[in-house]
Amino acid sequence: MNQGERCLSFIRENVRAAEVFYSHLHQVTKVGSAVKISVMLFSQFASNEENAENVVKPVENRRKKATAEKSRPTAPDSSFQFPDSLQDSAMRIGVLRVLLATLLSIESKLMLPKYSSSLLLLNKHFTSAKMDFVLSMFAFNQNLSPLSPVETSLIMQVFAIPIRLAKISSVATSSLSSLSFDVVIENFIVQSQLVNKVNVNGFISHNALVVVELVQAMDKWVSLFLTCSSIISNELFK
Amino acid sequence: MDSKTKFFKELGSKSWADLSTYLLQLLAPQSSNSTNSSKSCKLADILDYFGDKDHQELWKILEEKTSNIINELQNLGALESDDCDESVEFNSADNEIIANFISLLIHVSKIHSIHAEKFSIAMISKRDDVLQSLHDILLPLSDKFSRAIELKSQIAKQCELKWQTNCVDCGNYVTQLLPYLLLSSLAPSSTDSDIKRVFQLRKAILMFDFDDSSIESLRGLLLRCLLHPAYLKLSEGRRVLSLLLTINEGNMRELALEVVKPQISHGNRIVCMAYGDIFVRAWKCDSLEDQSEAQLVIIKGQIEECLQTLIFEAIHTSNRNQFKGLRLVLSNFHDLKRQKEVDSLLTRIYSPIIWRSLKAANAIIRSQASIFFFDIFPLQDASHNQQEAELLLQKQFDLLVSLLQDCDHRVRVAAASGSCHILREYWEAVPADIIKKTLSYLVGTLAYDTSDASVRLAVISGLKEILDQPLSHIIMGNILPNISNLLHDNAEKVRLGFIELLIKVKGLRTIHFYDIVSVEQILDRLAEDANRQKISLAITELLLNSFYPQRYVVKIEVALLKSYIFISIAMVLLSKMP
Repeated sequence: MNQGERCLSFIRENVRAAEVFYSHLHQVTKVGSAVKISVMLFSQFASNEENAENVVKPVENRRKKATAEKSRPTAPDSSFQFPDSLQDSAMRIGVLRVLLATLLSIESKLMLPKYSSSLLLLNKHFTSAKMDFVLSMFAFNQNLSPLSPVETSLIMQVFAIPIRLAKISSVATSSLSSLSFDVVIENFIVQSQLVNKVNVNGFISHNALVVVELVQAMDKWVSLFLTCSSIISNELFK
Repeated sequence: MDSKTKFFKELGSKSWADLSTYLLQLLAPQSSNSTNSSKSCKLADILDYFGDKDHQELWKILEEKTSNIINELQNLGALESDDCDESVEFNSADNEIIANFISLLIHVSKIHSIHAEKFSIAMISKRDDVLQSLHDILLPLSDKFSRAIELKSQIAKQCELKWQTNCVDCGNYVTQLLPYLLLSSLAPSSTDSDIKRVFQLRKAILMFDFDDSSIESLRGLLLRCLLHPAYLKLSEGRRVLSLLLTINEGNMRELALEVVKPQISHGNRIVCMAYGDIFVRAWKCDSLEDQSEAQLVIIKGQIEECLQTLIFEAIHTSNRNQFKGLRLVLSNFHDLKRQKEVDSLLTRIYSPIIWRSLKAANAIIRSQASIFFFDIFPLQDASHNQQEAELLLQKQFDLLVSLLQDCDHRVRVAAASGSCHILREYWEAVPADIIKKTLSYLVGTLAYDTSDASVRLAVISGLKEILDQPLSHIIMGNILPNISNLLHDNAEKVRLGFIELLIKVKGLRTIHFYDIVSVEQILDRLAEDANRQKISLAITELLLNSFYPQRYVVKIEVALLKSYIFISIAMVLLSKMP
């Protein structure tokens, strides 16, 4: 079994333990090892990237249609499929938690010049195209289960890290397609409302901070404002 | 009248001030203004041209002038005494002339000492008288006097050279020299070389009468050396200090101990180890090559008494730092236990104290005594016959087991650590039933001692130590699963200790850590202790190869390379076989 497979089986076995284990990985091995495992986990999501080309157009069309009809994009596209290992929502959350914990543990180190090669590796894999693709998957594959906002929240927290680091290293990876981003935020807010209805108190306020963090990292305040305005106007004119 | 007679007449008729000017002209290198190299050789040439009688004549004149100059120094108040006036000002012109003259004397003496074998005893004696006079002003010469520090240094160097010749009267040159060198070595600006100079003069210390009242200042200086970090740091310094412990006169040893004890009480590791080294050197009579065998036996006996005092204080002290410090001091002897004579020494000095202390009513005394007991285990005497030796050993084994069952947790902590240390060191020598009894009590009872977590931690640390002994692995593989519950102990340090034990096991081929405690349990513990940095980091280290295999490919490559090299060598050897 290779490192990636062991990591997935570890996550399946005990997510919390895996989270702690990989957050300490850079201390017992190297920062580069933590970057490698992060890239490996991220690639689990982006493994269907070759479909990215087929993804953008339907998303765009749907978006136009949705705007025209003044309705939220809800219908998932069958062409967006998570890989087999991540079909399960709990597993996706597990991988995202580990990915987030690993990246958070090394974020401050990656800002140091001595780890520039590791940062380069991270930037090489966390490209805007890949992140866009993953965002698209999240935007159109959610089944409105109570766990979906958790996944969205986690993926946004994860993406905020490479975007922040890219800004420091002045690498242009933060130009995510505003289209996918808007859809994700829209979905996130709608689903958070649903979650609130099933009495998961305090969840929205926590995740609102996450949205603000990502928006801050990406300088997309205008986009957020427009999305929120559109939702509010929809609600008002319903 | 020949030129020599004329020269000496001229020298004799001059006052010391004129003579100084005259000699300076002859010795151009001493005068900074001179540039003529032909002049610079004049004095050396003249001295070379002189016969033995001429030298005698020269030194007779110089001796007379030296006594004049010392009188002059006294008149000027440049020689410090108890009633000297500190505010006295020196005339700089006179100062310079006197300083030049003294400097010249030393220079001429140096030239003569190079060719000492050419000269008669009478001539050397005259020169030595001058050097003796100069030696006598070494300490009294005021530092306010012009170039006093430079002159003192030059005189000291000449006196050291004289000491190194090991002549009969060399003792006459150390009474001022030794305090001078000690003062230099204790000065804030001192260097290692100052201590090495004192070391060269160490045998002179024994020439002083420490019962005499006039020795106070020198004794004070020597005792100050015992506190000086540079002396403790340098091996030469420690050898000088060890000599002080061998001096019995004038309560020197007692005073030295009084100076050393407060330092040991601070428990600074480096300082205590240095004092321990000093005691070992003193006991070995490292710097007493010239003493007779009988004297050495007496000195050793006296030092053994001192050591016994230290042991008694270490066991009975209530100050933890003092105990630690004294243990560090004595550890220098414990480390040499493999030497037969040190082993006998330990039995001699510990036997009267340790057995009684191990059964004392006070738990602190018992715990401290048990720490020493395990440090020096086994006590054995070369003079004992086999039966006596076996009895003594059995007594110690019985004590080992009884200490584990002591009612005080501090004693149990010491006993758990100590018994494990003994098992590691003497696994083969300890009877099987003692091993079984000890291990089963450790694992079955002390590992679950609820009175204090330090007992459980001591058991874990001890078992970890035993794993260093390869012969123990089979038994340890069977007993370690019995303490698997310690992974979930209430005390964080115990959990951490247990994980460290598992990390140690991970490095062994004969035992697997997942046979001691299941991986699921370890993962649960990792999740539970996520916020405890030390524990979670230790568990990550433990599970690293399980969930993040790193050198798998490399290992195969190395194994293949090794096999290839082995086959190549085998092939070469086979081809060379007839």
